[in-house]
Amino acid sequence: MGIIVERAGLQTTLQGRPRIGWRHRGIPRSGPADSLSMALANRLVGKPSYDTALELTLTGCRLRFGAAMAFAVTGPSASINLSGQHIDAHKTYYAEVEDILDISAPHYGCRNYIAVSDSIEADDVFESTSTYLPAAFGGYGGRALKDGDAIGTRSRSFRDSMTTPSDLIMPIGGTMAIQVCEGHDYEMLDSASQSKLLREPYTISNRSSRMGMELLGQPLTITSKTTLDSAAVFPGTVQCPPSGTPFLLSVDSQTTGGYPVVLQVIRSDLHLIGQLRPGMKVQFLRRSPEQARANLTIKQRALSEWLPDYWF
Amino acid sequence: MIVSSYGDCYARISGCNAHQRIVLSEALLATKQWEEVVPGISSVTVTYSEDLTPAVVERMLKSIIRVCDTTIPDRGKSISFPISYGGSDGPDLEQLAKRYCVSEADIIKQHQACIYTVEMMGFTPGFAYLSGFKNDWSIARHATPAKEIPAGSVGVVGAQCGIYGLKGPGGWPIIGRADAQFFDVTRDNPFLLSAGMRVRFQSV
Repeated sequence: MGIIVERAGLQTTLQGRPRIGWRHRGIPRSGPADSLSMALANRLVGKPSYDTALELTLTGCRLRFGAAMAFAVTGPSASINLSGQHIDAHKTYYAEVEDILDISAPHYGCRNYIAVSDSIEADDVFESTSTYLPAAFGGYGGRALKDGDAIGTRSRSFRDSMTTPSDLIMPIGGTMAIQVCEGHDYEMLDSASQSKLLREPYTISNRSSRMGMELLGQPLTITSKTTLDSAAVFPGTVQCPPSGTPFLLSVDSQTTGGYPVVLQVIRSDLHLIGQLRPGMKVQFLRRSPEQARANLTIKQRALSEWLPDYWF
Repeated sequence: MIVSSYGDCYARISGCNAHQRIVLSEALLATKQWEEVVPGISSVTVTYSEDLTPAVVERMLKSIIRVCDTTIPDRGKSISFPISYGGSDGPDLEQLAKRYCVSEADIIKQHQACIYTVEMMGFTPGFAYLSGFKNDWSIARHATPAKEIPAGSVGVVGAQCGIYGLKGPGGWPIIGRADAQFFDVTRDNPFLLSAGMRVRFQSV
């Protein structure tokens, strides 16, 4: 029965749907940091894009199957073994009882996803099974998995075998280009800072989590000394505190903040943020709101055949 | 009030007073047309799906502004919390008293004398922004946020008072801790407070 966690790794959590429509009560979005990779994993086991799956962080994990079921691993390239046999990412496999799935740290990027054909039992809070660690709710008792945990599963019939179309697999290297629009307070940056932010790559610091990450690079200057009233922030918001070191917010981001919002990642690139890890570089590419909306349409069209239910 | 859209699916109404913000957010939430409606201290921000365009959204927000002053919000019920000031429950009280050359008792007395209004819920689950802390001290946020503040901690900044519903990092100087579970996911209603409610504090 279920799936036994033999090596949990740095931060393995259960994630499902993002929480939409709760930010006015201070409840963040959560869900997979890289929603596209999770959707591709679920697709290979015949599940909807946002069905509950495992999100692995930086160090991989080792699982033992307590029941026979199909599974698939997606995300950045890593060494994957099923009971000692090397297997591929982006492909459906069938595990027998007692089979062991061992996933190494990703070579680049940050997060791998494991989807299984059986239904995963998880706490459903605010209409979602996604784990939100700071408030300890959702997923597996509101926490990251530990060695020895047993994830409950319910048998679900599935017989297919699939491979992700290769043009949908995102290559990940040491630098990520992410498209952005000007944020609400972009004009508060002086003109030198505006061009620095959009020309120079920034490096992800060790202060990095599902809430957000610090960006190291050319420091920025805010022209106005006036403090802002706390206002909405979102995943993909780049904030600039007085120190001049910007922060890029991610899926578990707080709902409001008082620092200038200088950039906003375009909707169709939000999933890329989930693959940024300490030491990686990010290069922001400026887009107009019209270009951003056109890119969303193009990307949705490209995904519509393989992932008809996926939304950004 | 000013309407401005930014990014590919965000628009903000800024320059709202408290009354406008509460009425606007309630009206916007009631339409169920928006993915998110996020009140700020002087703004309301919405996010929208790709079926809408920035131009249409700006028109919609301008028309909702025109009707928002015609309704009076329900200010909600009043609620009083026991609070323990100073010491380990209010680790910044002593420093504040020193900095503003008053006694700790002066700050406590002033804090208890005020009636607060929940302006908005936000930041993290259960965090409440309260207005109504009348004082002459212009207390500022910490330059470096504290790493971990216990749940129930009560902080003050300027004329605002903030209640931390969860333990976690925070930048507000903490003067005490209220004895209540402001956020409890196991309750039918996990939130003790909501925008518009009146709050008072009483020493334990």
